[in-house]
Amino acid sequence: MARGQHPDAFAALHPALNLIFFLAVLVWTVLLRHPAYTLVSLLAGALYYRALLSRRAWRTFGALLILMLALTALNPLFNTRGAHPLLTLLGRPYTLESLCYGASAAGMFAAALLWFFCYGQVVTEDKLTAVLGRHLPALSLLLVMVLRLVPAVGRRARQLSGARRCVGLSGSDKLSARIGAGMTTLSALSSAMLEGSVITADSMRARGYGTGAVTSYQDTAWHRKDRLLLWAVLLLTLCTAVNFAFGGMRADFLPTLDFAPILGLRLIPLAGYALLLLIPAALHLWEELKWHSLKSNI
Amino acid sequence: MKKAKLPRRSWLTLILLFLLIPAALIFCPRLGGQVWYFTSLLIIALTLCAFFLVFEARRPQARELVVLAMLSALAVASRAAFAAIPHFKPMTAIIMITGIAFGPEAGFLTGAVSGFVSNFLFGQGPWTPWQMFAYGVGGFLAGLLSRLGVLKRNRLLLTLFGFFMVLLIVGPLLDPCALFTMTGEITAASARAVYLSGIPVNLIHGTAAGLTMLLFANPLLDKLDRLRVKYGMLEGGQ
Amino acid sequence: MALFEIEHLTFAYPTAPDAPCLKDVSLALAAGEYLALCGKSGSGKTTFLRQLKTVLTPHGRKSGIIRFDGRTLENVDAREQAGRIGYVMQDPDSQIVTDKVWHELAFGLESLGCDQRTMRLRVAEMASYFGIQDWFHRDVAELSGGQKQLLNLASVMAMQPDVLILDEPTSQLDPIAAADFLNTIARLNRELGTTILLSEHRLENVLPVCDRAAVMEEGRITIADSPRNTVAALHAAGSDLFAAMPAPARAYYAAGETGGAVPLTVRDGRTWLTQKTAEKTLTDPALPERELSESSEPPALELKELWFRYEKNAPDVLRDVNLQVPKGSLFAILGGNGAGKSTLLKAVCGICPPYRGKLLLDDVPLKKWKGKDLFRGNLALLPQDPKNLFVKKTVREELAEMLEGAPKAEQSAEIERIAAQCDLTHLLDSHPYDLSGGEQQRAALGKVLLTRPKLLLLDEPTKGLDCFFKAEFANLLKQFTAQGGTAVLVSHDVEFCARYADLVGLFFDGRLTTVNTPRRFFADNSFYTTAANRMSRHIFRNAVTAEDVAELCRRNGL
Repeated sequence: MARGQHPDAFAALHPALNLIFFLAVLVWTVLLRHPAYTLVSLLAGALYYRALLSRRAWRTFGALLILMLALTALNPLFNTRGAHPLLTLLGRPYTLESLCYGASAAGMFAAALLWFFCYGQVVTEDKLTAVLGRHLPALSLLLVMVLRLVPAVGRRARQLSGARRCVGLSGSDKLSARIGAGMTTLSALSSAMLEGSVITADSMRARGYGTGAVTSYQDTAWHRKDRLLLWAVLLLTLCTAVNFAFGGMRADFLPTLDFAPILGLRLIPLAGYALLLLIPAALHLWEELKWHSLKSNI
Repeated sequence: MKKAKLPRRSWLTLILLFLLIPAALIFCPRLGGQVWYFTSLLIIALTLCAFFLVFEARRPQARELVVLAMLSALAVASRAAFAAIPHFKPMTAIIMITGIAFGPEAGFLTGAVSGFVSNFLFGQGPWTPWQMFAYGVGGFLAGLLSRLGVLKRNRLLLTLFGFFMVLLIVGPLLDPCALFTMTGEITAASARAVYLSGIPVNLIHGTAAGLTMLLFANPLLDKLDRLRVKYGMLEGGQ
Repeated sequence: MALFEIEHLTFAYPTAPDAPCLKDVSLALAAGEYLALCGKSGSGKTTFLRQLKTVLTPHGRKSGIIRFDGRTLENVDAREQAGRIGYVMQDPDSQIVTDKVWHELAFGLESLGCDQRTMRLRVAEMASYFGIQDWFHRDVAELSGGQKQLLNLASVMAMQPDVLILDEPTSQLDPIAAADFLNTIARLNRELGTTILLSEHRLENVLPVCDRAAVMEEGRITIADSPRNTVAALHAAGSDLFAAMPAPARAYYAAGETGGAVPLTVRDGRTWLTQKTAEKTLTDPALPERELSESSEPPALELKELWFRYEKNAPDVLRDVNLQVPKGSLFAILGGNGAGKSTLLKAVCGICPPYRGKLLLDDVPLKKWKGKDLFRGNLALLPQDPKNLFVKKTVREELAEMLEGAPKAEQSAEIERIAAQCDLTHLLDSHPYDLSGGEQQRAALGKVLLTRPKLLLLDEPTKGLDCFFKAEFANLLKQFTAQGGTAVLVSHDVEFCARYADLVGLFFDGRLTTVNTPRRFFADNSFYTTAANRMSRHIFRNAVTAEDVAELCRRNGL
């Protein structure tokens, strides 16, 4: 995606901030098993996904709901621990605790998926390679080159099979013949691409690659807003970590349900966690409102 | 300056591999509750970092970089060559061939990068790290066995290797993603269910890998040899 | 002071240590100079240019001295060479390293460890100077060939080189993109004073603007002089390289002129012809025209009101195409980029089936042909890139692939026959990727001809070929049509079609507008026509080649 065409206000922030945010959110989502925290992550993820995709998000939500129900129902089949059997299935107990555990795992999985989907929308490949370029230049360059070559390989594969078809070399419809034709295309494809890679390497060396220290062209700078939000993300993550260390989100499902109570002061870290996760959606909404008011002023 | 950097990164890699991974194994279960998915992700992340840092420290030459990028792209886009046959994915085999041609580290790197980039096309998800790791291990082991002289350029050997490698190692490494994320707690029953249900998929995947090794491994290795001879390229690769 | 001084440079590849590829080459390139290097394919131009940048120099035995800016090249370190000596190669695609336009522009600067501020400034400057702003954030995969090559040039210029070396940079581009590119080069030389060393076979765009032209023949620099003197010297020496000179110059000498100022551009050619014919009455301003014979035989290919689009809601690519290709003719379809020429060929091959209209092959509807029969002895397409047909290790195996199933003895007899016909006999055991562009084209043609097609389709067959290979290739096509085959080619190459085609049609906006013999066709056009026609149309009625101009001069006693 071209720069200046970011999907929303959060995506327009510094790419490193985007990455740090998603890393923090994903780590906490898979680490925190307390139902309240899973629920917060699930809802915040859904909210931001809805903000990014507008109406198209509902189909994903439907599919995820079905997936969650299925995973929840399946878990007790594999896991018979738990103090309260609900019924007996195939001679094995189907327990309430296991069902709850399944719901928690399913919620976590769905939340992680939603955040990954948002990540896919926000962190485009050029943002990732820009951040990597600073710290791992060779890896970043490798990634950039692969990203350039993948469409080129696909295009070349179509040209090759088209060219062979037009001289009657496409073979028959039998499976063995189709595999053979595929292998021939693959082999010709590798010849053509390897020959091109000699030129690419020459072009790199001609432009000084490998002659010494390198730098990385950065299209973005840290603005005041980026720095402010970075501090907010780090602070809220720290707050969550402290609460985690003191067992504030302890959650045991098996053999009996046992959650850390979330009452009184314990609500503060939960609110902090919610605040962290709501940053992108809030930014998105704020910008929408701002543009709306600007438009009505014009 | 060049010389000062190289050992520092290598040290970092060693520390990562030999201290942090056992530490993660000991520390994570103490976090309480079921954190297997998190623990495994942490280990995968550390392994990936270690390999990436080794690669950086080596300061790869332009030609090596280009050829690895090309093979990665070929692995990712190889499905286009088999557009006529659905579900036929030669990706794993191409990664293994890269390992054989350029050694275990390059094999791992190509696998990890291919897994990552293919998810750019098909969607990132909690499975991404697992795929990067599984393909990486495939490339790594192929490279290692070939360096040790166990894996020769014998077509039958390569075919069997490709098939069993996917069936026994790469496939099962791809499955636990489902195990950890879908069933939550690991029990013998859930593990058995996940692995058994994975067998048909792994069989198809393994057959594709075996066939690709049978028909494509030697031609590709020959082409890489030709490049070495004609352009004096990749001399450092071996 | 000379920027580059090359003294007695001799170079031999390790594979042929006794047959040096460069022999005692001496040349000096002054700062700010624009030097064009001409020569046939395989004369050693690329080998020579690669000697001027150490990282690109191939392995081999070398003697002689190359001095850059007063120092021997070996003593100029790699970093300085990377920045000060810019190098642009042929292939627009493979030279690109990264996936984004902006990143490609910054690549060289990143490699040289340039700081952020300088890098941003240089990238911004280059994007503005080359008019890249509009596609600055795009994926390189979306660019056209011409844009890609311009990007390659801009990303080299971002490092602010003193000298720019270009190795046939326009050979893969269409004529309009090529002219744009060469104009940009001339502008760099004029406005920034960048020294240019360019090897090129589109000399009509280069000779009028360069300072000097050097000629390389069999590894030697034989001439290095002002463009006019070089043309004159080539003519005087009777060199076959003279055939590659601009049409006005060839017409000038073919008309029997000797000394004086040789016209290199259409404008100068017109002036020369005007002066030559001043105050004379022309008795015979047109060449006799071959009449189109009305054949009773059915046409080899007939299209009736053909319509095609790629998707249901996409615009039509072919719109009401009507076409009749008589048997035994060489039929050329000209047209710009994206006019739908290649799609037309795909429609004939059944890859892009039309949704309306009729397609008759030898009077039989295309649909009636069963899949494989169509491509066995009836129809074959030579793809734009001949490499797309190569899958084996030697040319012999490539040819044998087409004969699978036939007995061994018959196979080798067929291979010998086609190898002799396409001049491949000495190349049979070479790797197809080791052949030169023209040889690859012949090998691919050989492969295609082994299907014994009655109708041969060719997609841009002259792309990247120099004029000698073009002439050779045209001979092969003429042989094919003389034996009763029919050839349809789509092309950008006006000069080639004017010279060799029997019929020419112009494809525009999804349909074929006019079809005529080359002389009538080009005589009717005023922009889309050959250089010889443009320089002579105010005097002669239907001269389309330099030879035509000379012939008409003779007929009129000039």
